[in-house]
Amino acid sequence: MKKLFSKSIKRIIEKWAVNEWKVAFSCLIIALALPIVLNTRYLLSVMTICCVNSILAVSLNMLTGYLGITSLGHAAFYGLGAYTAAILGTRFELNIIVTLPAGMIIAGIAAFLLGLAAIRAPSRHLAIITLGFCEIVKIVELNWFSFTGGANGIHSVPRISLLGWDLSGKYAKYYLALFLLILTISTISLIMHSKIGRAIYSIRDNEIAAESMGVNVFSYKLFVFTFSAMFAGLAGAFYAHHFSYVSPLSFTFEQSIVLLSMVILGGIGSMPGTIIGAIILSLLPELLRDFTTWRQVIYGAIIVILMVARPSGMLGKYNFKHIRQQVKYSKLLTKNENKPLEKMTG
Amino acid sequence: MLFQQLINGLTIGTAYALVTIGFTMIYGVLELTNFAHSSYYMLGAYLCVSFMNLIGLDVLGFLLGTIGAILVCGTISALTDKLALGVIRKRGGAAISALLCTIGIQTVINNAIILGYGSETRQFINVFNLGRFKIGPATVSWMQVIIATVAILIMLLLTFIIRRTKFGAGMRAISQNQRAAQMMGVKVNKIIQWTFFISASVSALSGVLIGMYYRTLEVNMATVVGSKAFAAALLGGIGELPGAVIGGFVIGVLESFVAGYVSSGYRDAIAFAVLIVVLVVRPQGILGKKIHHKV
Amino acid sequence: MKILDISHLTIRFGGLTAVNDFDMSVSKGEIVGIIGPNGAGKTTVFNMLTGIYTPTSGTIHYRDILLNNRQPHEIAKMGICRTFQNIRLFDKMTVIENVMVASHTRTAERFINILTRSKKMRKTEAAVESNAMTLLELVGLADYRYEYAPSLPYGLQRKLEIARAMAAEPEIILLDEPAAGMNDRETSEMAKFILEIRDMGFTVVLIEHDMRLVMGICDRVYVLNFGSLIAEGCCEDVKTNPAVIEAYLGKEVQLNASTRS
Repeated sequence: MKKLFSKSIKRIIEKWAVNEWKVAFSCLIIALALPIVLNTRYLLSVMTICCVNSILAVSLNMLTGYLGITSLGHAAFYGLGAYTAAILGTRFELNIIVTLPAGMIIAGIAAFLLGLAAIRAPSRHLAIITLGFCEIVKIVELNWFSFTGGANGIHSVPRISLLGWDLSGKYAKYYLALFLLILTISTISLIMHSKIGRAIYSIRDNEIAAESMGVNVFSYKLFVFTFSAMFAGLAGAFYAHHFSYVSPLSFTFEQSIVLLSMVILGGIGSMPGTIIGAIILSLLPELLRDFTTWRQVIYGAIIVILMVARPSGMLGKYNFKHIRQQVKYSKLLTKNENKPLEKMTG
Repeated sequence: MLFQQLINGLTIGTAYALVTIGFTMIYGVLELTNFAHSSYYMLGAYLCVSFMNLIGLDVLGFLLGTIGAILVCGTISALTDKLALGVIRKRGGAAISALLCTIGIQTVINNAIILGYGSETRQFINVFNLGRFKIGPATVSWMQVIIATVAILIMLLLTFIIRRTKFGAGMRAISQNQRAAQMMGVKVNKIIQWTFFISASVSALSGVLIGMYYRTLEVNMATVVGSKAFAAALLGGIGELPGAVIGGFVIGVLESFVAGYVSSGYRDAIAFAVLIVVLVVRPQGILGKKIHHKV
Repeated sequence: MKILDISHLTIRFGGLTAVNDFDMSVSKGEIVGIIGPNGAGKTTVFNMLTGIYTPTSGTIHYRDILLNNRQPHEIAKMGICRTFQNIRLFDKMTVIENVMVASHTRTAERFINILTRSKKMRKTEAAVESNAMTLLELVGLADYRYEYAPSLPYGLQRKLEIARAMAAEPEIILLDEPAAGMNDRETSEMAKFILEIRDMGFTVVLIEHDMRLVMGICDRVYVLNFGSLIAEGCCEDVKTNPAVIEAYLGKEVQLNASTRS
């Protein structure tokens, strides 16, 4: 029974891998069409949050899943992006054309400087270094009252508008978030399917061998660290406009842990897995809203149970590209095996 | 003023040190960052108060309550390894999966405490009432002396266990090579479970002592101590028990100086900034040995 | 023509002198062996050559460029690439991807081409892949191209390491115990293969325990013992050198004494 079950799962995964493009395209169509059915302000807002969290999880996966560096400070870059957008939006009344890239750049610069100093440190130290950075950013946000509004945060960040169009409606915000998510996914996928991607994977698997094969480990680590922080900054800048309010408490170390959970739960190093993980962990708190008191306990218990049941996350064991190649190759082999047979009979 | 800051810093530092000892022990054996560890610190303190309410608010009640808290926390911790972390290990899960699992356990325990006890601050009655004495310009309470003594005794005891006993030899073997240890007849799972038991017990004991020192229990006491213990362990050199104590002291003293002379708002920020600088300059921590990887 | 010149190379780890005053030179097209008992410092020489360790003193010159303080990836780019004694493959990558990684320094790609997946970029990728396929066929691993590296048997993993080093298109290939753990037949196959590599235009420096392999194919050998060079020259000279015999077998007198007692 159990064998049958795992066999059918394997077949489904194989089908999925072979038709990855079709599946992704169908998902995109569904995501575009969903607002027709789920059209209340609440549901659309939940879906928008799913998109924002997916951007964060996908960018963190690039660092943690592909490169193998565990970061406990992704929320810091998320927060930096949000604060950049909020400050530019409230003080200079700039719109998203400026604030989104600005959020990316500020988060990127911060990550670059932190990485320049610390990225050479061993992985377990990077976990605590990023955690410490996250705490420092939060404390500065809390205490630099004149600039960040302290614990009160920043209110009334301008609504989203673009070239005079008001995009702050419930539908427009969702579609904008979806667009940003697709932008993130495609940029990161394109990079990972190039020589840069190969170099990144090789660093994860064996740093010394990668370095000896001519991969500049330090600059690739710095690049991925900066790049993933930039997308976190993008998500943050969007967040600031979406809620038109930012507060230091949204970007704590606990938030970093939640983001990391999304990546690990979905399957570390798997793009579809990460997105599924992000959606599940974004929906779970909403689904558990009725059990306010028990919510956190159930949430924790679900994480424990899922990790025990599937230690490598939901899709962590499967590399779709490799499965695709293996399926194609085995088909090729069976075809070639048949050929000489035909000759013999003919 | 300076001396008083030092004394206060050392007391906070002792709390961090006690939590860090257990934390670094598990790290030393499994290379696992146990996020659930600080939860036992909080759980121990709350359980001790509950037991004292049942038995009596006197020294006997406190002692029995402490023992009860230690046993319960240790058992829960060992069970989490038996039922969850051990299973992940057996299935060959990545280190990061185990880490996420401990985060889940932490979430469950911390929120179960809020569910069971409510989120308001509770009182922890000090049954000893030993008073205080003066060293030069600074005041020191006997409670501070007790806490420091217990911390040092526990550190010595654990160092003895790890260096001199068969159990400790097993622990060291597992930390070097789990599979080889298993083949040499070391009961790997049993030793790891006992390590979890001991580590959580020490954490619970420190929760009891520090709770009594501050006379209050708060639901965020675990998170406050947790990241500091993490920092202290790395600062001192992770996996090294004396390193844990020194790391705890350094962070405690640093915090109290920053709070006293700079600004209490930036207290935690500067502690972490120093940690980052130390880790960048000296990756192995204060006492850690530089590992030479063979290529 | 001398392409690699090592002189007075020394490295100390704390109080231990792992390599002491080592001199070596390699000419283009040679196969040079480094032999010696366990712990003689052979792999340490490789680690210094490839920039993983920095020498305490002495110099390493590759075509008149000083390599002492270079990063490993720079040295790989210049044209020295290696295999590892304790195999270091990329575990979660397929066999062909392992080889493709090593083309890293030989292809340059602009970031914009990657983001647009331009024609030029796809062409380069196809070339890298077909180059990797050629190398896999050469070492006999073509059928395993989409397997994961750790699923290969030990001997094939060693071959994969060599294919990977070749994909980096170096001038000098450093082989660290290429025949370790192989049986006689596999070892002689490996010897033949190393000669083939040389005929393809690579210069080979190899560390080996198997004396027959070394004596069969090396043009010159260097013998290390306790970090110091005790003999060098062509195989015949080294084989009869008393210092070498002593290092490998111990002093004759002592040997007799111990068997008698």
